Amino acid sequence: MSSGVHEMSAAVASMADVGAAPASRAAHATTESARAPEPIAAIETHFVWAGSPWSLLGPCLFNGAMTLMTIGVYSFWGRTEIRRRMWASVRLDGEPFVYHGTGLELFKGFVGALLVVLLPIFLISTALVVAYGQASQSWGLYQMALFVIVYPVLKGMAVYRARRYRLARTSWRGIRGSMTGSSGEFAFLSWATSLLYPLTLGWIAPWRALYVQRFLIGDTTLGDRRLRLTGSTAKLYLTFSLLWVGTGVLLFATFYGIGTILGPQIGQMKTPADWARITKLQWSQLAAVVLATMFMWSLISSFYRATLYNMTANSTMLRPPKDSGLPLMRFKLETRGRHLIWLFVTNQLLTYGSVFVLRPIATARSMRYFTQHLAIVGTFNPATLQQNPNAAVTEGEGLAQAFDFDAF
Amino acid sequence: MTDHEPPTDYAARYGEGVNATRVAAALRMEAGGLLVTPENGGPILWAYADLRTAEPIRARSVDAVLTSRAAKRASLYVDDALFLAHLIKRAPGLKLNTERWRTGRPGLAVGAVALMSCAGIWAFDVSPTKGLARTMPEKARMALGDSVIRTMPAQRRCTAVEGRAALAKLMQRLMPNGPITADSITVLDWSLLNAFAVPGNRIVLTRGLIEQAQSPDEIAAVIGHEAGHSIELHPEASLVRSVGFWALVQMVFTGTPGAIGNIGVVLAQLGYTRSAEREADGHALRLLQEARISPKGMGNFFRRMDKRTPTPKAADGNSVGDILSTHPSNPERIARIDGQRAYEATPALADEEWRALKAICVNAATAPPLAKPGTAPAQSSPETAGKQSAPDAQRAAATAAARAEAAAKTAAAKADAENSAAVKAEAARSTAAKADAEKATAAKAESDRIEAAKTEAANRAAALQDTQRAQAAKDAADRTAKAAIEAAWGEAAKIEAARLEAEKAEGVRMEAAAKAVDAAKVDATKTDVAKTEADKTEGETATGKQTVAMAAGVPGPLTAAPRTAAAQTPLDVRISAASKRIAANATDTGALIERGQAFAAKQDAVAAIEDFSRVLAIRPADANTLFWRASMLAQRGMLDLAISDYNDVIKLQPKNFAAFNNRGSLYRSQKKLDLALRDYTAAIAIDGKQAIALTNRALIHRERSELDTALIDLNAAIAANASYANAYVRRGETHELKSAREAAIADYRAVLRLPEAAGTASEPHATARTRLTALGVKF
Repeated sequence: MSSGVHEMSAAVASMADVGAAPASRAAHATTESARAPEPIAAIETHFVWAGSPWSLLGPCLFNGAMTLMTIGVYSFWGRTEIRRRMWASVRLDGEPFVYHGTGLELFKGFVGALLVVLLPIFLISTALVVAYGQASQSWGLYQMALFVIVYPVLKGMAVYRARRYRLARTSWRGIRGSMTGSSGEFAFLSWATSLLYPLTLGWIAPWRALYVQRFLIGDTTLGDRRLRLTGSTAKLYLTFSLLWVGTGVLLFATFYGIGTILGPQIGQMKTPADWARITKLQWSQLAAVVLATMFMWSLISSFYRATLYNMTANSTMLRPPKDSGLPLMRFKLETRGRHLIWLFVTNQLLTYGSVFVLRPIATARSMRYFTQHLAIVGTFNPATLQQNPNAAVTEGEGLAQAFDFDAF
Repeated sequence: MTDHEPPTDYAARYGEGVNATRVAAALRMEAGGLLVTPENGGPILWAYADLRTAEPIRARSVDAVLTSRAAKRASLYVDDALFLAHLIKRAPGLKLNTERWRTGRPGLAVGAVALMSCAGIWAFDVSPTKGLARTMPEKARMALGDSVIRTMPAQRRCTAVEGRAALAKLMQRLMPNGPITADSITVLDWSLLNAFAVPGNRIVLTRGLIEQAQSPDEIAAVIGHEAGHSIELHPEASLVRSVGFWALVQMVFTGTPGAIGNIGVVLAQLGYTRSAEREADGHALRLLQEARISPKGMGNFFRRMDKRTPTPKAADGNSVGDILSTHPSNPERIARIDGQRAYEATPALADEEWRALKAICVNAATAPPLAKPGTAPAQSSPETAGKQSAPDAQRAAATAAARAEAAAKTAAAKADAENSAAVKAEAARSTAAKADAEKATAAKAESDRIEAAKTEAANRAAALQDTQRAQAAKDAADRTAKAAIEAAWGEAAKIEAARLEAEKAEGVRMEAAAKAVDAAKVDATKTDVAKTEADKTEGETATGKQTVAMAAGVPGPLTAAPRTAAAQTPLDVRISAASKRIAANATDTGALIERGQAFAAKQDAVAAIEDFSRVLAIRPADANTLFWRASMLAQRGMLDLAISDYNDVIKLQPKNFAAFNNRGSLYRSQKKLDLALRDYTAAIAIDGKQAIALTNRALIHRERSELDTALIDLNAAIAANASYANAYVRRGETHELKSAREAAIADYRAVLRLPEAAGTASEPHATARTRLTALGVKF
């Protein structure tokens, strides 16, 4: 294990060392820019997290109580307060970020998504069951279409639109972000590439992860700066291959464990009665195996995730407006696999231990970690960062809320 | 400005929001607002009411980003805790609580409305769902009901003809004008105790409920109650409510409308509101009165349900007492029932019909639930699919068919030579035609017994009993009269097959045999399958026989079933005496046990099961009665239920040798060899000196081709009990399988040296003689 950690750390370090390389590649790739690639100065502006995630304890308890008392309705306002506080903790050049979203916007977005997207799906589903029955082929096909096409595509749209909303509602020194592309196109491409998972036995994952990020990042503007993700996937594959093999071994061990626990019963799991024959001891053993698997996987995947996050951030350029003569900047992230493991384990304990009431604190802890390891590399002159010319988005992130997809 | 007054001038950094630049700015708290003077521009006044901060200002706040609603893009960054402390005095709206209240008001309003709606529904017991349900078109309601019924496995539905007829009669009386008829009622072969209404005027009852009911009046009451729910559209309303609720929950949390997928589960677990229960009770009482059925049954039923402890009962995880959770029998309801004005009433059904209704699930003896899908490895081929549907029956038929082959040696030889199923059938048929009058008479003599077993669909135990009776009744020309009867029985099946094909084919008038066939409901296909099976498993027939004997679990010395001192009394006397006691006191468990055991001795398993079930309804933890019922259930071929009862016995008496042994045998008939092995081993661990468990375990080893291990167990069995003939027979057979002819002969001879008792013990002798003959040994 220690050698594994060592290897990973080396890989991460080397990733961080290549600072200038992606920048020059990016400049070459940027056909619209006639200028020669500009070297990025080694100046780093670090993001800072002010305060403690535990300062959210009060709002967490308050929101939990209010959410219960209002049968969930207050959660949108509670979420907004949490976001405001979290963004206010993130500092760049000494000043906090400001979250401008409101609970009402979130609520309207949710109701909209419910009425426009989910209610029709529900009504169609109900009608089909009533008309054809659950055993019918039509219902089967419909369900397949729903789970294989409709939901993943909707989820893609939700991800995109949520990001657009949050960017439009977050500012730093009054400068806002935005997304300029189409959520439909993103959703389709994201879904289509996900179909390659089974075909490639998962080996598409690193490529797709960067593909999806490239799309999202490429559509993002912060003020007048467009973001762009450069860099190739090749470097991810070394870490990923370790993860892939590790996952295989882990799955084998898990199935072996389940087989040992259930013994010959395993071939007879056909009816609920067969399931009922599993003893309490066996259930607890199975739960232990599944938990161990999840834990181990989070362990072995942490190194890959760290590499992926770092690489994504390190390859993300902040491009100045055309012909402005301003220097390129890029992000720099230095997360570590072992840190992510610790974060994962403690956050899981916090989230499940508090029955989700303290989940915002877990989220804030993650955010703090990433903030503290994130920097902008390059000569950063605030005076040159102009306001975003795109109009602000007014819609809420309803779909993402409906899909319970949340991020800071 | 005096010393104690707060300063009004502060420093800040100001940006217009055009770019990220900040310039120094002076702030002054004026009466009308905050005066902002950037170093590169003129003063701007931001009204206090328009001010907004990035996050609420708290006591510990040290800095803030300020904006004004009047100047949307511009912002101020103030890094001065003192300024903030003073600011909130002028602009209290920026404080945490005031801000929460101001921004969260819409949420609180919506939440309050939602909460009050829920509270209103709960407090006033009103719900808009019923109104919604009424808007559903009749067709949609029926379709919904259909879709729910479709989710219930077809093989779990109880369809015994007499039982359905009794139900139809009950419904004709209870609701002569509909809308609910017997056809709208589905009886499920589930041990859990439940009844529920399904949209579209449908009702589902479980076998558990029918078994627990002590009179047809109780069933009438339960149906009346559920019919009341149907009339009031409660299931529809509950679905709207529950599916709507779950749909909302699921949509909120996962976005999937998955709730609809579990309508059946939802319905089975639905609780209705108190007023809905009152309404349903009202309908039930009205229907009972109109039908002149006493409401006492209803009261008794709920009263009994009230006393029940909802402990898990069945081994398959079904729990009893669901009706408790869905239909709380509170004193108010019972009082209402008891307070009904008396009227002239007659029992809902005659005794015979009631008995038929109780046995409505006996059709299940031939249905898959007893041989759960997936327990046999090869289940997908069409050939074995038939076998799956009635494994017990077919194994019995296979045994019979194999023996028929042996009896009709010449014909069978011819048939084998021609290797044609049609010719085989023809050969068998001609053999049957040639069956002498003696055989026919013998078969006829057994017809009553077969009749009694008619709903059992080729019950193996019955076949065995037939065989034994036949042997006692007559001296057959064959060496084994039993084999002859079975041959006749097997042939009869084939005759019936032929008869179905060409009704007026040979004038075989074996009335008894035909009856047997009708009773067994063995169709032509099954006979063929059985034949194939017989061909395939010829070698297994002898062991199969043993399985039958064990699986039947007939209480006797081998299974150590409890016996009473009154066992010698003529059965009918015992039954009528006990019945009198029961008539005097319906909960006289002693009398019920006595009568149940007498029925058992009379081979009337259905009646015995009924009595034992009544005892168990009162004393659920009565291990002896559980054991008796298990034996009877096994005899009826209801193996899963029998196993369930043995499970309970074992829970109560973890050292019950016989329960382990018998359960092992049931598992063995279900081909669950691992479980059977485990049980036999457990039995041996309890009492290692019991030859029967050792012999049984040996058979498992033998079925797994572990002949040496089998021999070890058989040796141990004989060492434990040198006069246990069966062990010698099994050892002889095992020796034969190992081609140890002399050792086999020695074992068979040893059997014949043992005294031959009448009844079941004569089986090993018969087998020993057959084997010795086959080995060409004179004895």
